[in-house]
Amino acid sequence: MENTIHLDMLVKEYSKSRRAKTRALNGVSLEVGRGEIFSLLGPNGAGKTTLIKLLLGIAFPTSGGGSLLGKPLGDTSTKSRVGYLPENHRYPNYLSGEQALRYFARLSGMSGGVLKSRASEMLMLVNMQEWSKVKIRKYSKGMMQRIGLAQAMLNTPDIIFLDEPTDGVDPIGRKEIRQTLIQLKERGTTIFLNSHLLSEVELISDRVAIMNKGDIVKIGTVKELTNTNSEYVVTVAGDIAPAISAIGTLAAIVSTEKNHIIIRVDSIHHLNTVADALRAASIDIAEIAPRRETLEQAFLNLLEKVD
Amino acid sequence: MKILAIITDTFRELLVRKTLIGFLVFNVLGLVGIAIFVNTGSIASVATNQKQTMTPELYEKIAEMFEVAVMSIFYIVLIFISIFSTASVIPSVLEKGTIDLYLSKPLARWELLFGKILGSVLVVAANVGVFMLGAWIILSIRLGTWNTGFIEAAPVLLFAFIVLYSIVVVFNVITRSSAVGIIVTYVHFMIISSALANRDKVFSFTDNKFWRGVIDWVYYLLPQSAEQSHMASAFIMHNDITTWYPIWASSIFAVVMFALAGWMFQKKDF
Repeated sequence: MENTIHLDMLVKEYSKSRRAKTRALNGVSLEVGRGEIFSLLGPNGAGKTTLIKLLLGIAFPTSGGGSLLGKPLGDTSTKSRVGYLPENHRYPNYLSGEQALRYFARLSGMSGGVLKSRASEMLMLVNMQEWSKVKIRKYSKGMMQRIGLAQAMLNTPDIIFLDEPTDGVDPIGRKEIRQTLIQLKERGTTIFLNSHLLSEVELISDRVAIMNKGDIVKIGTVKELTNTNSEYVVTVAGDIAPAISAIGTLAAIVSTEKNHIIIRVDSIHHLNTVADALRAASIDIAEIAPRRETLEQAFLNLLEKVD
Repeated sequence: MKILAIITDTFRELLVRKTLIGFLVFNVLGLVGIAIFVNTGSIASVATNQKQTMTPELYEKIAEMFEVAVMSIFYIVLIFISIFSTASVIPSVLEKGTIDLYLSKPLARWELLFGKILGSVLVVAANVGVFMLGAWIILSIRLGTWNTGFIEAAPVLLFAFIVLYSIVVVFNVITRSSAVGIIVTYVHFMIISSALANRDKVFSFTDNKFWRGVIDWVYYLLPQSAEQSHMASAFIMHNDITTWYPIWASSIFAVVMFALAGWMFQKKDF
């Protein structure tokens, strides 16, 4: 897959005072492919927003480097192919939603009929046509996010960076934003997402990186991150008591719930031995599946280990 | 195209913030004040009663002096109001959450800064133009003499603003706020510039060559706002301009300050 983002040992230090410096990024290396929905998770201060700022040339790396859409970080011309919704964005509040979109479309190099039609199209996409003539200062947080998203999509970007896109948005709005992101992905747009809402990230992301204190501590698909390697859920038809006694000491039973038994095994061969024992005891097995954590559990467990 | 969009936005911002309306009110009040001034007191007396008793040359000189008085008052008020009104244009762009939006666009940083500076300068230029033209028409009609020197002085006033605005812009970029820039500029304009213009009097307090040298250097390095006011007066009075130093030295100062602001803005992390 062609890389949209390539980062090589990116370091960012900020000066706290004349002598003291703080490291926001500790040599981050990363590849994001074209058309991926890539999410960055991490506690506050992990370096997620700093990473996006370096990618867009809003801040400059202390050392290391990389490329965005094949051009060096911060390259001005590349930005015509990039969309960005910053966290806590502030549009000029003397503009209406429509004026703001047109203004930023002009700054993106659009003009004439394309500019007008694209602005209207985007307002429609985020359900803001009714509010398009109202000044931004009267917008709710959710409306601001919708306008922000419209602004980020104005120039039909190849990659879109979204920093907390569903912040302040109601559940229906969040679902709409999710659908919009999936549509963008289908068109081949790469989506780089920073979000605290792990359930949403889990629903739409192809790959997730977990950041902590300026480092990427784990990266992989949602499946890879949530997979607990040695634990399986055995679902039996009927009562679980005979199944528990059939398993006996063959495997460690982690927990039980209704007709589910969670067991810990050393290997696939070990798992099959358990299955054989259950079948030998004439227990009907409905399903055996690897036990998965939610992304939130995986995230919290990982941070606990790292800290 | 992009710079034009930024300039248009600056006008819109100043319009919504009531700055343009404030300028308009100031212009109208100023012009009404001039109209009252020229129809009462000494000007009215000179224009109506004493004109016949004077030689045309003397009358013109007195008329020019009235115009200088009007311009001198306006010069101070204009600088104060213009600096105050435009000092927040750049900080509003540099606010967290706003600057990120601008810098994510295919727009060079210098284009953004230049667009905002140019927008502010054009707003002030429009204000200076309207006031000077209006004042010139009122004064000329009342005094019965059309002195083009009064109009020629307008670019000098605008120039004085641009030079002082360069100080504001540097502090805007450093502090991301307007307060420090306004204070430094006012202090220079009202105190330092006037004191340096009269440094001969300052020299009377010290015989020390070193300090005299330092004061001289400061005088030549900083913008000569007081002298620019004198130059505007010279245009009105049709006096010879003895030295263009206040213009070109201040031009260099402004270019250096704008370049410094641009360089810092280019390197700044947001």
